[in-house]
Amino acid sequence: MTDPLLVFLVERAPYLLFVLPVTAGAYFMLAQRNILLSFVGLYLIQTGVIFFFILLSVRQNATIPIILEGSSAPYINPLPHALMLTAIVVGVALLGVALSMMRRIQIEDGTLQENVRHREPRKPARGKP
Amino acid sequence: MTSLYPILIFLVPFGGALLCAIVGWWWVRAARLIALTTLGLMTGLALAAGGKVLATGSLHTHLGGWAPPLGIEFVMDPLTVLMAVLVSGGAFLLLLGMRTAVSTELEGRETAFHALTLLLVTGMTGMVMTGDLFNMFVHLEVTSLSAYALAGSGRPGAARAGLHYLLIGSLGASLYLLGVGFIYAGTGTLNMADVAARLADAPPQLAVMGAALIAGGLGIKMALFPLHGWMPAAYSACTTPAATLMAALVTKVAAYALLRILVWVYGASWFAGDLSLLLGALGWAGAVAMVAAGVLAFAQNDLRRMLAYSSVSQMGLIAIGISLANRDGLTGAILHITSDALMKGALVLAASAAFTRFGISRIDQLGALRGRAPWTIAAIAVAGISLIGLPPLAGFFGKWYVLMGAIEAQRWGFVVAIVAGTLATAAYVFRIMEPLLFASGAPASAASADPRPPRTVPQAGPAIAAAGFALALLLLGLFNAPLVSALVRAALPEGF
Repeated sequence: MTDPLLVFLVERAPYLLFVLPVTAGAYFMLAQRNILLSFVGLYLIQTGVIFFFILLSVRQNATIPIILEGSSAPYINPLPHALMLTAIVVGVALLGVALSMMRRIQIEDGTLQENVRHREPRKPARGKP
Repeated sequence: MTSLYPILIFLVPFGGALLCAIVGWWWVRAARLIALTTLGLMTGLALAAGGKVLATGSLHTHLGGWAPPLGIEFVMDPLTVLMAVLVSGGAFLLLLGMRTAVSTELEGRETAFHALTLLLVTGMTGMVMTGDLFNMFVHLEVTSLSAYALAGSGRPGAARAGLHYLLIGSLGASLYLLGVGFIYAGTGTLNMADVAARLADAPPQLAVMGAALIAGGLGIKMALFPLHGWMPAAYSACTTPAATLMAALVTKVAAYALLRILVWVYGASWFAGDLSLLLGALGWAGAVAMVAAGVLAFAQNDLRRMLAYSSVSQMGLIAIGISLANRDGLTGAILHITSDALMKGALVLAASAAFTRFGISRIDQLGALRGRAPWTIAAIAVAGISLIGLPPLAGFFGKWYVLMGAIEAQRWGFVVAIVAGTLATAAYVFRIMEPLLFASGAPASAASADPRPPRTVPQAGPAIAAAGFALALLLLGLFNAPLVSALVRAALPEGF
């Protein structure tokens, strides 16, 4: 006797690689009051999306997509890997921009906590040229 | 036909950005010159390509010589021409108009600012031209990363607002990428034309999920209600040059991307069938945005916050136009993307000039401009009248077409929302105009009549930019009929 829900879950178990990081990331983004942890949440979501693409390319009993002479073995789809390589590069650029901004916030406010979340940003010193 | 124009228009600002960063490192004054030359050259190329598109039909560049479903292609159809001229010409006029703002608010960072501006334009050009869904994501991120850096630099407090923008904006980009993943899972291809051809055979749940995720992701980028929260905060915290670029161009290009994917990739048969629920949600979000953001704009006292809410409200009209899914609605949405970019460009540039030259950022202080900044006031007047939607200015036609489309589709709720949103628009535009035009306007204007003397002598740049935007709004209005038939209607796919 098999529970249909159990079958569903087992068949799609690899997709947990996508679901878990995205769920954890959404939790971090929504529940954390620290900008750094919110950003970690965003990064987890991006990682989950990358896993999603990689999962699309997987085939059973397949090998790497290098075609040798005389070999007729099935190979995995290389395109999602190429796409995600680009997405990872974009993610690293994002990490750089975000970290440099966090450094400025740390210098300006002395904290990365979100206690000023729903308040107006501080007014600039008007008189200063 | 194959042509090098599309890739050339993209490479010019990219090369300009690199040149700007390298030369500007030693010679700061050259940065602005390089940026202006680049954008001018790009506008010329876009116009030349436009002539060619009108004469011979769409232009294609196959990158690396790989033919489309396998390779990435850049496409210029009549609508792309409109957007490319808007992005390059608009950025040129904006940069021309904000010399003082850049030199006072970003002192010592001029080189970085100009290089980032060119990168921003590069990304937006790529989004406009690309014929590939994943390539669109890359250009979306190029645009966004430049925008985050622009938004986060300068004033104290800008970094925090910029980082909030980064968190929510990158979430949008991730949603978009996930949506592309669903489409790829359903069709096995990424080229837009190829996806459009194969989508009919794809499992509908994958296609609908992809469309919903893409609409959600780009909805964040275009500040569509209720995903607009980042925009007023970012606009009022960042420097005025950054706010000017973002308000005028970035959200509009995101709206274009959504329109391009929904209308050209999915198309009429999906609009009538499985996507109708999504389109309904889009339309009602737009209707609520038009009215609620219009009222919120009226309630603001900070000029730039008011303009940000005005953008949210106008974006609502564009969303209604897309969701109507008929010829008039889509024509109106495209026209309104163009005219709102020009109107917001003129208004935010005027707000930037008022802030840097006279220290004015609140609406009740605007009376101090009277008699001292005629070009700024003229720009506000023309763009304001266009924003309300009075003919013959461009703002009228977008609204008119969307209204016609709503009546044709018999969506009376949308008709009511458009009319109510227009009334709110008129109310907040008059709130800006009143202290500018009448001495006895707001009582507060007398008290703060002279916040401080102007910091710089008037220059030719802002006047040329204001005149350019006003002229563009007038020409776009006067020559509306040939423009619509040559550029907009000719580009719409079959079934609309």
